[in-house]
Amino acid sequence: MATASQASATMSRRSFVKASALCGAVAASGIAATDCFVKADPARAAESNDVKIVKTSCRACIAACAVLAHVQNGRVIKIEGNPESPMSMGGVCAKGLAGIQALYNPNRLQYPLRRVGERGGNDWERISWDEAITDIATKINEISDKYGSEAITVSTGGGGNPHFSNVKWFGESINTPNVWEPGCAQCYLPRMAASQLVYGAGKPNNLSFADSNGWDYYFDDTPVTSLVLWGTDPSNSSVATGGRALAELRAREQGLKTVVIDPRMTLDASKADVWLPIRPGTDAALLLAWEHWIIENERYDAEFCKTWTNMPYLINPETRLTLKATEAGLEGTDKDYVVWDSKTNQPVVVDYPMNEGVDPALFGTYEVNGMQCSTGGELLKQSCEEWTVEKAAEVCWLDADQIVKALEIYTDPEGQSGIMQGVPIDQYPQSQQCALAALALEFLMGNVEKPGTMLQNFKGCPVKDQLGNTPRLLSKEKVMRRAGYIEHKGLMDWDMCFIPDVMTMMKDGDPYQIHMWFDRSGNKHAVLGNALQLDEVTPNVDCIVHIYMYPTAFTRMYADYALPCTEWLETNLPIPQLNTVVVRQAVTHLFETVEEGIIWTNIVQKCAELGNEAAARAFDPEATFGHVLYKNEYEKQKQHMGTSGITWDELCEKGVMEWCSVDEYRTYEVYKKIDEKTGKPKGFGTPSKKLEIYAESNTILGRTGYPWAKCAEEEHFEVPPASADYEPLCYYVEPAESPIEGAEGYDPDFPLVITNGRLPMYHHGTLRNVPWLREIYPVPELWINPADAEKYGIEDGTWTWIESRRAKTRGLAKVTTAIPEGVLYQERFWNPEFLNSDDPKLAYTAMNYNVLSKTDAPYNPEYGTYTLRGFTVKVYPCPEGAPEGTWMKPEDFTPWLPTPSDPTEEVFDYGA
Amino acid sequence: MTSIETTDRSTEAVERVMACVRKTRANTLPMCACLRACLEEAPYRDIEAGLESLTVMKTSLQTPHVLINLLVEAGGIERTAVEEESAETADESNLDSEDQPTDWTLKTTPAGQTVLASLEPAKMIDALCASEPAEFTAAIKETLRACEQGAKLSDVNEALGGKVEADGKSVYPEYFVSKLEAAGGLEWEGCWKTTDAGLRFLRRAGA
Amino acid sequence: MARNCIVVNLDRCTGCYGCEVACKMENDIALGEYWNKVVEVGPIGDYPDITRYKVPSMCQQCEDAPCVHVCPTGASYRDPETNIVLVDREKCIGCKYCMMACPYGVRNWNAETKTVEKCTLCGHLTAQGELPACVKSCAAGARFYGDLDDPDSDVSKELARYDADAIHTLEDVGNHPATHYIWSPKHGEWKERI
Repeated sequence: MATASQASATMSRRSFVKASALCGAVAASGIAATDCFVKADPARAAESNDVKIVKTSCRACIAACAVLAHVQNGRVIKIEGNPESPMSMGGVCAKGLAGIQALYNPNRLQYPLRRVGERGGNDWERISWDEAITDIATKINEISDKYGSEAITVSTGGGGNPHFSNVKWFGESINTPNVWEPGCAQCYLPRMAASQLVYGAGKPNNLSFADSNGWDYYFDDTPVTSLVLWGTDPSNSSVATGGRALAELRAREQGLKTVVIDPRMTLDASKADVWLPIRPGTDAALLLAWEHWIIENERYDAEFCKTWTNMPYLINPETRLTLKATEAGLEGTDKDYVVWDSKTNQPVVVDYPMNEGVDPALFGTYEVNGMQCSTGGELLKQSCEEWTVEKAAEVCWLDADQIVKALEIYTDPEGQSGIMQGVPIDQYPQSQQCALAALALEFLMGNVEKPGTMLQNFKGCPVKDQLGNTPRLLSKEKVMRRAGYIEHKGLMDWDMCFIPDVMTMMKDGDPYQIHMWFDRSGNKHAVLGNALQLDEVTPNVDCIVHIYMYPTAFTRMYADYALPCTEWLETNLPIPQLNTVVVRQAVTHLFETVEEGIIWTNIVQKCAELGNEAAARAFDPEATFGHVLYKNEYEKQKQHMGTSGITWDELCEKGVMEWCSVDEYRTYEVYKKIDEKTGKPKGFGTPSKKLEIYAESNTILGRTGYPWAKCAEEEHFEVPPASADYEPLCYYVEPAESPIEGAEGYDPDFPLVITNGRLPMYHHGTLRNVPWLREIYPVPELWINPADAEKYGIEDGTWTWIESRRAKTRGLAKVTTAIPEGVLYQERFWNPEFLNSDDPKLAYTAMNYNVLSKTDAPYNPEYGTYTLRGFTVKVYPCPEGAPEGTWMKPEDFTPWLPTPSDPTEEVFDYGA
Repeated sequence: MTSIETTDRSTEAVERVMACVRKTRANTLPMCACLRACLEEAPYRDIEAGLESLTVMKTSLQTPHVLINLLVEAGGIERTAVEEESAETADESNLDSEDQPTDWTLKTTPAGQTVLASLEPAKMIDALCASEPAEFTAAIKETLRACEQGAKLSDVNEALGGKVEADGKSVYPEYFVSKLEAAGGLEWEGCWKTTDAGLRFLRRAGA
Repeated sequence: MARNCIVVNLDRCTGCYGCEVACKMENDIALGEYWNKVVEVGPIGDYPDITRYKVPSMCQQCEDAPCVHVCPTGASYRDPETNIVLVDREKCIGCKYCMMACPYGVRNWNAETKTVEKCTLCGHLTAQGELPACVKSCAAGARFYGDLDDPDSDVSKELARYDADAIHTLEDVGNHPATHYIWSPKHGEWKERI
């Protein structure tokens, strides 16, 4: 390798200039390096005092990859990965690398704005933060007095540097039960809540890899041999963490076998041993077939199932719940379970975890106390009896042999597998059913808390990235007014409300009017189902406050106030990652931006100051059960650092810090640990301490709200039942908009099934205004199979109309075999370039997938999940092309090139 | 400056004004107040000053000045420049002085008058009753009655005794409060107060 | 003589475009211009044997570089010390012969300076013992930099882990690109021409 002096002599002039640019120029700003030609010794450049390197963490998506931010004279000039992160190992994807363009985007909201004139117009006046907070707090108090605090709704999203628990905390502090986000029931909640019900583990500990579960896979000695990527694409959705982990696993001597179940041939599918291009909306059918095959071929771990699941527990046919000793007429309490001992052919009361010498039957129906009681396993077997591989192949549009091949990989007795279950199943009405079935499969296989399994219960980090919220601030009366509270009790797990009801409340005021709306995320038009309904529902909402980093279509069309919040390069947050904590520390601060958590607390404080008694209670240790709302950044940081003993300053200096050793962290078979109080294994966090293959906790939830219904007066209070039982087992329902002739929801006018899915350069609705990212993928591709393209006259690379029963929009056709016949794919999109045009509506109508999607019934019973994927559409050519003014060429994005600016002081006091 | 369609009472003209008035509900009654205030031609400063003191204007986040401008653009109010004898311009340093030049007068156009007439609280309250299940009329009347002397939301809750159900609809007492406010039957003055229109409805409806 | 180059392991690559952006940021490259561009290949074939991957393409550091041969001014040259093919902007007259001669289309026309430029293997970084920007921040750890002739280099070590049938170059028309790609047959076929 060349020495420094040799390098300077032999490099081309431009690259030599680039070397000094590290010291003398703003590399990412678009300013030509020749403007600051400083002859510096390249070998010395890294040691120059001019460039500071700050360790922080990206938030262009939720992976939180550790990065190094290069700062010179207060300006961020370069971003690269920090190799110290145990998850991303120094990698950063395009989104994070483009962080400087997001930070210094010329469209950044710089100070609070108040609208002058009509919504949809573009006249704003600048106001001070004091005025903004006072105006807003006054409005909150007024609306609370006039209509009740529930007339205020608060929403967030997953993209754009939000902080979920803070948003919920804010809502509770101003005494409204109506907090929501377009994800939630349509993203992650089903998989997380299902796991809490039947696995009993905390948040997380579930099958979502992209949400940073699957921790064992980040260690190179993990014995996993195969993985099932069920509707998940780490190469798109967790590029440098999950994507990296899979790359490392594949690079092992033994490699990694994968099964990918995804209508799209993603880069994960392209490397899979088996790709099952499943018809969107039919995952439950395939899951049932997997259950059936595993039972029929006896691939399940019988011993594990007998001892650690409720598969052998007898079920009371009248209650549909586990049979208790008292109901069986046997000696024991109403909390004791009953199994059928195959050895003695009689019912036996369970001596937790399982009686010595008893061989509990996993299947069968037995007479006990005059009742025909099946085991949980028997009911599972019956529920999937008709689901042969052939039937699933027909329903799911798959090849039966390939399904079996996949099953052989998953159940290989010589291997160790796991299921990673992605967001698609959360995005249509079978969310809970799919989530429960995938967990049931893992339980059947004994894939729980062993080295190499997806489900783990590793040591919990005392540092918190999510602070939790205060659901018990709300009175029973208030909580009962939450939209959808009784019908969709799964939402209680996240203390959130049912979106379709919120929309009705905004539009029709039924059962009460929503008068004020805080939205803390990017562009609802891009991510909310049936997006055009926003035009219809917002006129009757008196005051809308938008908090974001830059104006979006939501701001332009609906907001009355726009408050500037921080980009990730301006934010502080500690993030647990395996056995380390990774810091996100503000590298700079621009204009008058304020981190959202600080905006919230200042609003609450002002509400309290102006006489809002509920708001005052947010700071009362008794009313909050010890979870007092932070008043400033210092208090917030302290709460995040928790009981770790690590100080914020220490963490900032180190960037990535171990909070325990790797060995201490990786705790396996935690359920077997002996509970000192009982002398018995701790078991799982379910009422039976067993894994619920028969998910009776789901049924109980629907009938009572247990375990999540809580209020100020009671920790667990009983809520009236939902209109129908939540089922304890998976079942299949053909999508309401079906492509199958003869099905109830079939309409020959809408023959194709459509889905969406992540891309590596965008996160949900964000980043469409970042030039480096937008030039890679300027408009959404509509993937269409060649057979369909021919049938419907669609040519590759041409604009195409896509029309659903609700609306139509455009996509740029990509004719490809990476999507199967009968199915279309297009990712969500919106076009910021139209915001300052004469027709700003084009920003969210021109090529926006979500104007097509469906938010009316049927809904998923447990969460109210509506239909973002797996509905039907038609396609036809769009000869008129994209609307004039659509930016597509790289140079079009020049106006969005970064305008770096100097750091400014924080708006509110640090507090220490 | 005269708007081209100010003498127009055509459907399009009326629709244009109506669309403006109804675009955001928080602005609807305040805009009606603006239309009412301009029925008699008068200088804009006088009109705005008069509006600023009205309770109803508080439901809007916009000032009377802005709302009037929007109505002028929509053709609901006509703005006429006034020729002054002297070529004075407004004295910015002393805006409270009574010696300010008039500059403009405002007058509600025929289209504006039509819109105002169709949005009379009496009509709107009647329309509200007509659009709801018959059983809700009692709750509407009860709400208006409860607020005759001024009432808190909790008083209305008590008066209606909780949720009101009919025809598959099940609504909270504030349902009626919000709708009556939008119809001009209730006003918030630190408490809910039945408006004159609300009282007239009660008398008409035979409370 | 050293053979410094980049090796890209497509078994690892997730096609995230991070290397495109890292390169742009490091070298201040204009919108629409690229020194490293990710190209999509496929899908080719019929289910279930379909190939699809993305291949980041940049200067392939040909051992016998056509761009050096055709350059009339010597702007496109091979550095005598490092053996790396580079462009001296001062000498470039913008004739674009090198762009036509390059078999891979990886040379960039700088619209502002009206000269040709291309991947420099981040000489200014490697001179300080750092890795090229695209290698350092690769999300999947799929990029490697070093001297093919040095068995202890990162590139040599990575290549040594794979069988010959997994190691490829883009089409060699006598120019012998030093840049290598890893793509295992079990994942799909390799396309020389992209």
